[in-house]
Amino acid sequence: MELTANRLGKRYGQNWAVEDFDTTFTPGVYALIGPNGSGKTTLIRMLVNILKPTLGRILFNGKDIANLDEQYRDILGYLPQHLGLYKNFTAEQFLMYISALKGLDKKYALKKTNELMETVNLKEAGRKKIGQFSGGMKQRLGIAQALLNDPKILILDEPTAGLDPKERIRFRNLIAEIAGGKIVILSTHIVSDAEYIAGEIMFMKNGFLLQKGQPSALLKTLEGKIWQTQIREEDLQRLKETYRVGHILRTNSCLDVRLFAEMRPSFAVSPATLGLEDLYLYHFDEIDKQSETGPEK
Amino acid sequence: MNPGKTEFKTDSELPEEEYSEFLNTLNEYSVKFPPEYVVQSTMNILQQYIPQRKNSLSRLKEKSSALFFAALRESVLISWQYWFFCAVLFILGFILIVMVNVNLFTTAALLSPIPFVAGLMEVLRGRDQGMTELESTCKHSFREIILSRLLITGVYSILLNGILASALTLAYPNTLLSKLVLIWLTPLSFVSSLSLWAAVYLKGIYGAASILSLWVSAVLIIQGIPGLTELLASVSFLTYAAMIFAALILFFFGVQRLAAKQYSGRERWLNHGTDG
Repeated sequence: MELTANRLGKRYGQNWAVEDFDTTFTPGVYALIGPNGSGKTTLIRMLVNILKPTLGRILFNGKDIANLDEQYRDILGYLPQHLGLYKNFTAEQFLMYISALKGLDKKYALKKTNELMETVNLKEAGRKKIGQFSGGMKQRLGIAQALLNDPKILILDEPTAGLDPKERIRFRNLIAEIAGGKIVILSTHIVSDAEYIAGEIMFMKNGFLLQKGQPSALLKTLEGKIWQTQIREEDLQRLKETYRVGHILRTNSCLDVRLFAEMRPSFAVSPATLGLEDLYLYHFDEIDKQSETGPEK
Repeated sequence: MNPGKTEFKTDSELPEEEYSEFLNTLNEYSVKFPPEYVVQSTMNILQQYIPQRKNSLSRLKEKSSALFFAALRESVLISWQYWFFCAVLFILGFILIVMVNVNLFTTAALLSPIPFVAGLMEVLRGRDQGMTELESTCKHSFREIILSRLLITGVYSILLNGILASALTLAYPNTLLSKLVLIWLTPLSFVSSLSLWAAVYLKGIYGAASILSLWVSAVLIIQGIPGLTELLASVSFLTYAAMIFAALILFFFGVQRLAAKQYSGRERWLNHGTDG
C-alpha cells in the first residue's frame, strides 16, 4: 500500500500554501510538524481529497485519488482540525450517523460505536448531547469517528489539541495499537506526541517539506550543535546576543541553559542530550518568535 | 537539452541511407504472430476484467434507490422541531380557513413554500455547523448528502400541501382541487427556487429567513391591493403551468449550483477555521 504526493502544490491567490511537496507514505505512522502557517492543514486537506491541488497529483497505489473518488473515501478516516459537530446529537447518535455516511452496515456500526466509545473513554457520556461536551470530549469523539470504518489511511489534523496529558497518553497508545498495516498521518504542534508515536517525522516550513526521516536519524543531524551550560541570571542577556538559546531552566542559584552553536563554545559547556523539541527549535526558532506567527495555512 | 538523454529523430528526419539501415536491423528480428486460438483465449481471460456497462434504466434505478436510502438516513438528522412546526402551521392554516373564514387561496399560497424554505436550514445545517469538511470525506458524496436532504424537505412540503388541499376540498366541495393545487404549487416551486439560490450565497438561516420574510410581505401587499387576489386567481392554467415550469428550471440549476460544484463551494465553506 502506497500513498504518493507527487510534486504537490496549492496556491491561494499569489501565495503558495504548499509547494513542491514530494513524498511517499507506506504503512507506518508519520508526524507532520511545523509552526502555524507552515501548510500542514492545506496538505492534509489535499491528502483527503477535499482540496484540489494547484499542481501535482496524489496517487494511491498508483491511481489518482481524484479518480478513485468514492473508493478512496471508503478507506479513509479523517479528523479535521476544526471539527464541527451536530450539537443536538448524542455521541452515540453522531457515531451512528457518521457510520451511515461511511456506508457501514448497521449491526457492524452499532458494535463499532460501542467499542470506540469505550476506547476513547466516552462510554458514560454516550447518551449526552454533544452540545454539553468539553473540548477534550469533542476531540475524543472526533478521533472515534475517524476510526469507525477501520480505515487503511488515517489522517488526523492536530488530534491531541485539547486533550489532557492522560488522554494524550491514551491516544498515543491507541495509535500504536491500531497503526499496524495502516498509513497514519498526523499533524501536531506537540513535539513530544510525535516523538512517541511517529516512525517518521516530517518538518514543514513555509509550505515546503524541510526535513523527513526517522526521529533517531533526524537527531543525528543535530549532534555537536546543542550544548548545555549553567550561567548566572545576569549573563543570560549577553548569551542571547551571541547564541540562539533554547530551553532555560531556573535552578536555585543559577540558570540551566541549552544553546545552539555549530562549534563548541569556548566557555564551560557539555553536549546536551538531544530531543525532537531541540530539532523543532533549531528549525523554527519558535521561542522568540512565537508571538509573530500568523494563521495556520 | 538534458545531456543524459538520447535525441531521437522521426523517420522523416532520418537520411534515406540511415533509414534503410535501421529497417534492415529491425527486420533481423522476427516476431511470430500468435495463433488465432491463443488470441481468442487471451481475450476470454481478459473479458472477465472488463467492467460491464449497465443500461441507463438499471443505472437510474440504482441511483434512485441510493438516493432514497440516503434520504432515509438523513431524515434522522432533521430536528423534530422542524417536522412539528411545519405540521402545526398547516393545521392552524386549515383551522383559520374553516373557522375564521380567511381567504382559502391566499392562505394556501402563503403556507405552501414555508416547509421547504424552513427545511433549507436543515439541509444546510452541516455547512452552517462546520460539518462539511468531515462529511465530504465520507464514502457517500457531499452531493448525495445535499440531494437527499433536499428530497426529504421537498417530499414533506408536497405532502403537507397535498393534505391541506385534500382537506380543503373535503371541507369546501365547490372548490376546484386542480385550481387549489396550482395555487400552492406555483409559489412552492418559485419561492423554493429563489431560496435555494439565496442559500448558495448566504448562510442557511439568513438565506431562508430573508426569503420567508420577503414572501410573507409580498402576500400581504398582494392582499392589500383591491382586486389583485381575484385577478391572480383568474389567471389561466397555462400561465400557471409555464410559471411552474420556469421555476423548476431555476430550481434545477439552483441544485446544480449548490451541490455539483463541490470543489469551489467546498473550498469556500472550508474556511471555518484558521486555514488560509
